Amino acid sequence: MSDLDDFKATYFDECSELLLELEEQFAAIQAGDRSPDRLNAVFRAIHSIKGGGGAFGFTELVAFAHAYETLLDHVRDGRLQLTPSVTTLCIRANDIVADFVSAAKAGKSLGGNYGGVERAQFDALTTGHAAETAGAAADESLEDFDIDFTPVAVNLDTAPAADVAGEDSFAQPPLAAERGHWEIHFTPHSELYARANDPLLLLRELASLGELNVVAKLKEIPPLADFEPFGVYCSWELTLVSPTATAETIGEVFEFVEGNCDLTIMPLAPRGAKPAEANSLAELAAMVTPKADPDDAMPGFEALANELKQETVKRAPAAPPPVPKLLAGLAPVPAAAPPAEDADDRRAGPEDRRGAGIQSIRVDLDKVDRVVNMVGELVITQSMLTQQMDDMLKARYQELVRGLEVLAQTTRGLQDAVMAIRAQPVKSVFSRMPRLVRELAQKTGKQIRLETIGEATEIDKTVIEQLSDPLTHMIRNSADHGIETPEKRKAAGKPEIGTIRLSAEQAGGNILIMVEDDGAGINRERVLEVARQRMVIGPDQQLTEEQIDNLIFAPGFSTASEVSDISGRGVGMDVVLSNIKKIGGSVNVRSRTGQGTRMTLRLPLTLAVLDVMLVKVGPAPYVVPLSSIVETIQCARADFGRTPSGGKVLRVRGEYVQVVDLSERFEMSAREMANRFVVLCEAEGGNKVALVVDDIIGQQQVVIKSLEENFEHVDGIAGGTILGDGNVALIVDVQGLKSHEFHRNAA
Amino acid sequence: MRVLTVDDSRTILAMLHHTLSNAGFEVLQAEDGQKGLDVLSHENVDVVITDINMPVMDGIEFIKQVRASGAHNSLPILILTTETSQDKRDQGRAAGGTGWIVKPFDPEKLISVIHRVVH
Repeated sequence: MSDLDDFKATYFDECSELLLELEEQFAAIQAGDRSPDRLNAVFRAIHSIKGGGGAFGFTELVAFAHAYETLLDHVRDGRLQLTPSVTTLCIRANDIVADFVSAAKAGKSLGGNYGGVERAQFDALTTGHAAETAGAAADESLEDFDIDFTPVAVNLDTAPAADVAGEDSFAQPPLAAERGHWEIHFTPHSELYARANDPLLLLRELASLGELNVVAKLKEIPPLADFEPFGVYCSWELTLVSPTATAETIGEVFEFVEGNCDLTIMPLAPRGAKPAEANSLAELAAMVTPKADPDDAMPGFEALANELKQETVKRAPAAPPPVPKLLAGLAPVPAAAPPAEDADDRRAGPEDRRGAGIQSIRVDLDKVDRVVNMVGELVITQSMLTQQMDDMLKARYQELVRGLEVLAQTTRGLQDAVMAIRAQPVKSVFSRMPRLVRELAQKTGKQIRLETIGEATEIDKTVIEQLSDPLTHMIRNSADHGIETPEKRKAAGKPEIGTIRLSAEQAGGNILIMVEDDGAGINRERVLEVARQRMVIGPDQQLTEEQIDNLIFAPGFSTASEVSDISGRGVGMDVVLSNIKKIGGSVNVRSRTGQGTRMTLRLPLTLAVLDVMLVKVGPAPYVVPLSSIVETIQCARADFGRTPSGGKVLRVRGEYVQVVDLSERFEMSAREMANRFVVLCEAEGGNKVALVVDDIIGQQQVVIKSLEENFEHVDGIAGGTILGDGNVALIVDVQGLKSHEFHRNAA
Repeated sequence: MRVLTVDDSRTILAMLHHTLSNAGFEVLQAEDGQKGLDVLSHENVDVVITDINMPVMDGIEFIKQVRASGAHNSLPILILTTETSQDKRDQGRAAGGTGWIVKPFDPEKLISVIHRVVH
């Protein structure tokens, strides 16, 4: 990756953070917080997006951001009131900025007129005139922009610094002009020194333009007794002979001191350069030095007296060396030479800096993943070692056993610590939702408020990345099917503004993410009707209310095109389920007619390592995720039964649970039933399933390996893992088995 | 030569760091004026490059405080800003800024401006 790509990546990262910040600030502003800090933060965010964008030549983005910034500037200094309509415009503008950023990231153009309507509104608001037409106003502001702020794309492939910093860097000034002779009178004021400008440097720069003769005017210097260390006594008369210098290039040298000095720049009739007065440069250096560092004024004063007595340096009239070299010849110059204590400080520098407390570092995700993988392997090795210890060895090498126990603990700690590195707050996903809700509200003509809770909840980065699509679907579903129109809500005695609440919390080893709405609830009759129509369930199958609600996630069930007012989506909630399953999570929905719907995502804290129960089916080891196991029962004590349709069920505490015999399912030879075990698992939506296995071996941690990546998808298997003894065990997909059996029974 | 760069934008800090370290400067960084003051309180630097718009303490206040401390009267401070408007620049100068660099900066120009204000 080139440096420029690196910077772009940093820039886009930063933009996401800034856009997030904008959402937050406007949420507070809308909630009535009008403190100037809010507006300043908004202004800074847009300013930074614009600034970085300019560096990469994202002209469309910069142009819009610039217009928006102008509006914000008006609001900030009170020229414009932050009325609700201005706030709405700003929020819309944030969305447009976000679009421009995305487009820039994708290397696409949105066209110069994108956001033109808003730009016209900015213009109308900031100039106080109503915009005649949106397009014309946008063009106008673009012109303004061109004059006011011209982005310069950065070329990072510049020559190495030596070329730039060296004396030759000014050998060819950019503007060519006629060979000319210039006379310059320069009298600094005290403010010039107060701002750390240094006449020496100005002269050095002038000398780089051509042949420079310097005459220091010393008339004003008072007798030593009256000499004020901070007084300004010196002025200069300069002659510059340069083939290229113009009044502009010379003026540019004095750009930073404009207003802090008397300056005249006059062209002279061409004639031979006046020879310098023999001692002028020495005096110049001497005069400037005490000014250069007023702190050193007292010691410098002594040096000044010495300097004045010193031998002066003769200039060669034919080929004058550049001024910096002459100055170097004048050493020691007190201010230029770093004092010894200074050097000591520098040596102490790096440690001090570390002490100064850098709170965080940025690390490439690949590096973290490598550590995660290695820790995973370490977990396996550790469990392998533990397994290798038979009773005889344990008795003989007690120290080793103790050591292994410590190793197990440390490994566990290391694993938790590594996982914590990958954890990120869900805020990064939640922050994309306010815009979605705004757009949905606009499209559906409903009034919807979004509440977010628990944004700081942390979850594995991979999970976060996979979360955006499912959440988008769920919120769409709530806005589309859940929340009613204002009229209907009013008629039902509810507030006209509907609420969607997005929340996250940690519950044990899981993260729960909930999307709740206070809408009409799921229309169960309609869902049943559609499910029967589409053969998702059998015609006579009886389902509980909860089972009906969860049908919306069933594959092949999509009411989207039927019920939706928002056309063109074409995907149903089954996508949510499959996405969530991919990251080892589950989803459940509960609904109350007339009161609302709550969809709950249950996600694992981490993806890479799983606590499992190791079981045997036929000769092969299988693992069942511990998080889904409710209890285990010996088959001899289990109460099996049959449904009228012939399906096998288990009766547990008055509840009938579907039985899946893994030996049958995976076509393995089974032991005698009485010696086998039932592993009672809870699948999504609280549905239970009883897995019958041949033996229970124990509990351990495993590192999940994808079956799809290494082989292909197998029904009923969620993945594979390598056990401590090097054998491969397959991970049982509890939910997959459950729904498979469910559909087989239903058909 | 050591440069302290003060900017709330990571992008700008990164680009400054790249340009300056390629040019042989040692680069120190701070994310706002307050942090800039903290760095100056225990580090020696030869030149400061600071943004204007920053949270906590903006560039103008930062420059004022640096000059008011009396310890850095001869420290050149360059104002780095996209504000091309005269009033921001004047405010920066009035506060004690030595010169300015307009963002987005051209690396060559940046280095040459630094050499205009530093020995």
